[in-house]
Amino acid sequence: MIAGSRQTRAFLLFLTPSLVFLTVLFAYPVGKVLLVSVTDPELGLQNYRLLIENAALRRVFLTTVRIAGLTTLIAVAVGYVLAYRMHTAGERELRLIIFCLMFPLWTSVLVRAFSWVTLLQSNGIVNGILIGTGLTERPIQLVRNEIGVLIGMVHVMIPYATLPIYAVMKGIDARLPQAARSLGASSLQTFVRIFFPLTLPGIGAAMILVFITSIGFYVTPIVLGGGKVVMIAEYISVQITETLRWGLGAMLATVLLAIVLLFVFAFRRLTVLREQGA
Amino acid sequence: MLEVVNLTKRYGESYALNDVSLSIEQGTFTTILGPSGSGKSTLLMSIAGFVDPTAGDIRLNGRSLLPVPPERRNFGIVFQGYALFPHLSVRDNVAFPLRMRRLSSAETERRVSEALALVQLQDYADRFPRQLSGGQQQRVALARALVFKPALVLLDEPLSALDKGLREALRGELRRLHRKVGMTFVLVTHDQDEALELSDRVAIINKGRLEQCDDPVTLYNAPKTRFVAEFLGKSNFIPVRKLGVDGAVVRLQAGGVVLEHEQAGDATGAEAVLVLRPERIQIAPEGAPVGPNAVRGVVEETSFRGAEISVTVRTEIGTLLARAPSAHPFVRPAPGDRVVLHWMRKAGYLLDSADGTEAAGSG
Repeated sequence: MIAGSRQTRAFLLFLTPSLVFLTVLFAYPVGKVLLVSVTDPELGLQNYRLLIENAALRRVFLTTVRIAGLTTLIAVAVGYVLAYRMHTAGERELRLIIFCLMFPLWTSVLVRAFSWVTLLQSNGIVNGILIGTGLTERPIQLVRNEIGVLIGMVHVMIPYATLPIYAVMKGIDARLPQAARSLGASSLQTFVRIFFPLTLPGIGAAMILVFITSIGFYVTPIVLGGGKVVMIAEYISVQITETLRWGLGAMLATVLLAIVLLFVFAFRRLTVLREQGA
Repeated sequence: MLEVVNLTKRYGESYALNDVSLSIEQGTFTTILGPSGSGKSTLLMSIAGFVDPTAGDIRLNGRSLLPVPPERRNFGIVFQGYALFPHLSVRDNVAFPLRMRRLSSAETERRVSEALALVQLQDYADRFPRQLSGGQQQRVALARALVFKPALVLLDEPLSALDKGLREALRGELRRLHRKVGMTFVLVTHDQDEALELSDRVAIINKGRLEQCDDPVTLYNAPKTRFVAEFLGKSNFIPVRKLGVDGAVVRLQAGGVVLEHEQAGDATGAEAVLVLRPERIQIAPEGAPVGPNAVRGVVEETSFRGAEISVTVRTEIGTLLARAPSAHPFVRPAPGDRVVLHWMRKAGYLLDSADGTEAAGSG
């Protein structure tokens, strides 16, 4: 008993720094945000009611979910193809792909967003090529709209989509596709029936990761959306710093957090069920 | 009949397979035996279609298999580690090859239950592979490889992942299964006991070359190379010089002793190596009446191995290993004892010393 309680005490002692860190820097601020969302300007759920009643707010919300959803689908699709290429690539090609994938991560999101503006604007390189090859007569609007935001966000998210899928592919026993072939499956059937189902956990992980990151994007939509595409993070920032409607900002932040937690929880349930083989 | 003709697989400068020729009769159990890295798995994967040979041919009933992709070869393969599909139930694993062949669902169901009954896993159809023990997984892999009545069943070290007791039990089961289904089995293993016990024929591969392919008894009693003699059990190698032939009897000079040898052996040159299995050497106390091949020596070491005793004896023609049943009437030899080792004229096997040294040099 004595040894046990001493162990418990030591355990708590070691845990203290991280507990203090989390309490001060995480639990307290989040709790505060929650509190503000139901107390500002006055006690009650009126901030949450706005979500249903206010059309502008609903539009921001829908835009956010739509852009985050589309970003997720495109980034994960591209990520899957890239991951598959990495999985089948030789050593040198693999190193090259990893380098190209990681290099943008060392560049600031802001720099990348402005680079995309330069590339995509009416007199930018992309439109130059499109007009030069005669594909269009006049420049296509590629920035200051959802297309621009999508391009920028997908670009940022591709590494996050690729790596979890690649990790899962690497973990698949190389003999499984061989076994399928030996049992009479063509390469396509082997992919559809064996390889793809086994990569589903990776696709799930990639989708969750990309979606919960995309839904809170701030810099990229501001720069590439040019004020025309307002996502929830920008809207919150406006409430906090300009219109000073803190209660509304806090409510939106809370809803955002709830959505993220919901997805994480749903994903964990799914993977646990898979592992139990149910 | 499956024929492997002058098969060669080169990776850069190194040969995984070097001019291997082998024919496998319909319905037989053939084992490809070799140490790790000998090329035995490359041979199996070439037959399966996953390795493209550099030269040579593989033919089934006279038709070349090289242009045929793995999924069209119709060979059932039991992979090392079994390679069961983890996301499919036992039933769906076994049904997989039938679904790929677009069999009707009634026929599929019938054949799946038949195959599961064959390996006594009827009650496990709805389990997933990870819910099964190693031995059960191995049997699912067998059922999956047999269910579509393949032209050939290839087994890649199917028992190596299991512990010893289970391995021996499954060995017996595998043999019964082979007799029952009557298909052609090709097993790859590094386990000599497995090879001797299971096979009609054993092909011994070393450094990418086929050393010898024979039935187990011939292989054990009449090894063609020193490698085969050493790989299958223990042997004594006595360098000898031929003195003369007297009818069926060859007289051999070994050190200062003249030995007599009868029949078996391929040696043609004057210099040869006499291969002698330890259990064929008798041990007698010094001075006991013995036959023609007798050498004197002093016991160096003994080790008790249950049913038998291994005795290392330093003799006038070199150190020899002998084995005697532990129930031998002669008092158990102890280190320091002076003994006589003797053997019958037909006990040994004569190899050309060129064969012996070449095989020893490369193995």
